[in-house]
Amino acid sequence: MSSLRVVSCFFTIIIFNCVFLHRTWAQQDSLTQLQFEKIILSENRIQGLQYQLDVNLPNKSFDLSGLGMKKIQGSPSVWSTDTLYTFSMVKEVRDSISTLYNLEVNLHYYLFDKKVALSAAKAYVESIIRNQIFIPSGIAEESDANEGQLIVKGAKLPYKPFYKLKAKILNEIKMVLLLSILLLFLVSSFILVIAMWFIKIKKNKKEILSKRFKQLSYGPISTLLFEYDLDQLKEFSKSDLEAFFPKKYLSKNLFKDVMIQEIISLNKNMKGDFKDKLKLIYRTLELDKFSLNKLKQKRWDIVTMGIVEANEMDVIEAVPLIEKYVSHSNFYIRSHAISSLLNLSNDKNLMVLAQQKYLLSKWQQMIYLRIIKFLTIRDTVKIIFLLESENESVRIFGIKLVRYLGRLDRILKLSEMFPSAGNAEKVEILKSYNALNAVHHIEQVHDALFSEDPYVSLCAIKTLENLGNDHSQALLMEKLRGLMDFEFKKAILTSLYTLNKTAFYDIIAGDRDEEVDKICLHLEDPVLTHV
Amino acid sequence: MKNVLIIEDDLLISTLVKFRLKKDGYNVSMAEDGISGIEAIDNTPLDLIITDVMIPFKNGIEIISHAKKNKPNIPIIVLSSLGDEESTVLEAFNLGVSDFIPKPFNPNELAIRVRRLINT
Repeated sequence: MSSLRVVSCFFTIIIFNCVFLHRTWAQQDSLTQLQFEKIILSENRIQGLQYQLDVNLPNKSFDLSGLGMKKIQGSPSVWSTDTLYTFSMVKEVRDSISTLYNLEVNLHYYLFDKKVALSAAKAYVESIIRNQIFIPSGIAEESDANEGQLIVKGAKLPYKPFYKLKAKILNEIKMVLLLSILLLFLVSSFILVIAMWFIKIKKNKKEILSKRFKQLSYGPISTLLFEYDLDQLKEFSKSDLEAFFPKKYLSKNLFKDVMIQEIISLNKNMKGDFKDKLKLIYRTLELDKFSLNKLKQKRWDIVTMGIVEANEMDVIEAVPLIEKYVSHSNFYIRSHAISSLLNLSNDKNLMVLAQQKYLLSKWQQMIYLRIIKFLTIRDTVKIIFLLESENESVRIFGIKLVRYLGRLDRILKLSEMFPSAGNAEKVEILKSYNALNAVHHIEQVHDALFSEDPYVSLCAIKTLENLGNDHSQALLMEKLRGLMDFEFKKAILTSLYTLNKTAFYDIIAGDRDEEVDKICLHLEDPVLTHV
Repeated sequence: MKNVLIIEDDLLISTLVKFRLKKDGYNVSMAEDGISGIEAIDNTPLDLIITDVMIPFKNGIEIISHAKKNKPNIPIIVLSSLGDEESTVLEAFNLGVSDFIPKPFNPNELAIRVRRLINT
């Protein structure tokens, strides 16, 4: 508290001192004649300021040479001093003349040897004081003398900070905010770097361990696959099999993961009884339970991994768990769940697909087609539910299946669907008609020829190339008339050329242009047949 | 003892094949990529090469070309997946490979083909 008081007193003195000086000299508007004379008298010399006295004598017999004055040439009654540098000298001469001769003396001011008026001399002195080029000694002494009084006065005043408290706090808050942001940034960066470093170390450690576990698993797996036949392996218990592997790692999840991945990889690359052996090892080591456990996890990547493992190793018990994921919002979980169910559930009706609410991507369709093709080797699948699905992408996939699996029995269903089908479905139906030679439904192809949708129309033209008849030729010619689009022109001329060459030449004979000529050259060139 | 070189980036498969061929009494060496495969062909006395088509740094075709140019009498078996492009497989045969075994494969079948090629 006492130190605070001392500080407050010190500030008060400084403020008082400043105020006093400012009020007295620095910021005073102008000096009075008295103050001015007081200053110039108190100073020995003021730089740049000079004085001169002259006096007009009424009696020519007076001699002022004793006072350091001289007669001015041309004016014998006027006596003048030399330039004087101190006002005390001026005062001395002036007082002497006044005492001896009772005469008025004229005082002249010079600034840097140039005669100026009193006001200019005063302004000069004021200016050098204001700019603190010259500090009057009398004033400084006066200030020192007042200092003690100021300290006493300052001590009596209550403490009042120079800056207002509000502004000070605001300044501090800004600074605090700035420092906080900087600190937050630094701390975040530091945490991020530490986290990255930690993750990298963990990842590297995991990779090294994975490599090591892989190396450790190669030997036992090779031994089990080549040294024992399937029947011998069947007789092995879990502990018998575990004896082949390093015991201390068997309980580790990473080791189990590595084992599963290696077994799956081999299962994909091997055939014959090696596949059965691998599945048996997988089951006997209870790795299937580890895979099933993944299906109950929350992380999508772990769940997906579990689904893939169950699918690859034919873990039928996983079906009820996987069924929960067929309509999952996560694309990967959903896609793999459907694939697994198609593979594992032996669902010949393909209901898992038929009931799909989500759009089937081309990638999904490709994967499912491969599985369904594999399923059809064992049994015939029912595509009808796909064709009746509420999901358009599923219906389109069903139409594609009709084509890819050569399901002629479903052509009639396609023709029933055609009138109310969307354009994308119509395109696929037309392609199926074309692939399966569905000549009985050529009327629908003729209708499609004049569809407003260019893709449907183009697909119909290409279908007629294969299925078309005389009526089709007439319709194609009708379509060709006034047609500007090159793609359509080329497709129609190609179809006509394939359907009936004689008719084709008759048609183009009367209506040849540059484009038609080029298309004809292309069609007639055997090298370009498939270009 | 006959020397067999396996050039295969899948270490598990090459380890298994090595294990299987060792059972038949072959001295088996492994290379994980094209560059080390070519080094092994140049620096090791070999009686047979088994190679994959899709391997790092140099593909199987380059390896087969190199082997046929420098050691034309060594029989080569291509062990590759059916997914590999047909043109690549045909090119391998044009270069003079002795056999092609598609993946998935049976290691016992591979061992029989190795025996047949080495003994002839």
